[in-house]
Amino acid sequence: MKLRELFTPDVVNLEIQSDTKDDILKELIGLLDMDEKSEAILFKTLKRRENLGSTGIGKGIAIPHCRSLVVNRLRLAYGRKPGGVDFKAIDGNPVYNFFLIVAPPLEVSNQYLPVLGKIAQFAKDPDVPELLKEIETPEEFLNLLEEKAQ
Amino acid sequence: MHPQLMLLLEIQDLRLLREALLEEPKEEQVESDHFKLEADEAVEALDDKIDALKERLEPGIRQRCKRGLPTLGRMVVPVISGICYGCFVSVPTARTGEENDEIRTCENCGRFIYFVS
Repeated sequence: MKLRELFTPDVVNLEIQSDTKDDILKELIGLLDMDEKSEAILFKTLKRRENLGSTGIGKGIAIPHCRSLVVNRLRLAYGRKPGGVDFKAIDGNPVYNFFLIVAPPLEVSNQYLPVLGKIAQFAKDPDVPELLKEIETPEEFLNLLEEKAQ
Repeated sequence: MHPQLMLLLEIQDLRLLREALLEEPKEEQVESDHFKLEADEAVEALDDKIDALKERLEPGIRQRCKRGLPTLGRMVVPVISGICYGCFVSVPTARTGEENDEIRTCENCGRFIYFVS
């Protein structure tokens, strides 16, 4: 399955408002439109994953991810923080682009790892950080995925 | 949601991450290749956190987990569309659609259940 097919405009936020790692995670989770308690559990799980090691893979991109019981299918979201934020990324540079991936423990289509790998590959394309900076609408983000990510 | 159920879900989520790092070579490889995560160190940190969370479980629930884990594997499972995802047996309809405000177990397999809408 193509990455483009896993995103919809309503899970794309090109103007993340938060300024801290925790608040950015919460804002990304908010895009998934879950109930408050599920959001709280998911935040804790993502936070604990981040505590093991940052999901900031460098070049201004982070991919917070986990498996959690609070979702019943693979869920993805994208957020962009134009000013960047310290996310303790591997390269020590600020992070501007956040791809959130959450999967249930049992996943019939088994897409979690392939999707995680595809997003990591997409992020490593040298053109991608600049292209992500230029997009102005969620639709343009989806078009970029269509063009650059398989 | 019942606070103890939230705690069980937190513990289960951490166990999922631990299992993935220990038992799923592909997942461990992705974590290592892309995120530079050292599995051994991560598992150790997860074990400490899981132990700390387990201390906050009520004794009866903790005991039930201790007894059930060796045979059941996962002690808390979702109920989706009325099906327990631990044993894949239908949960009686009168008990579905709950707000997760009580600690419930599957009548068939005995696992703690969590209703996902």
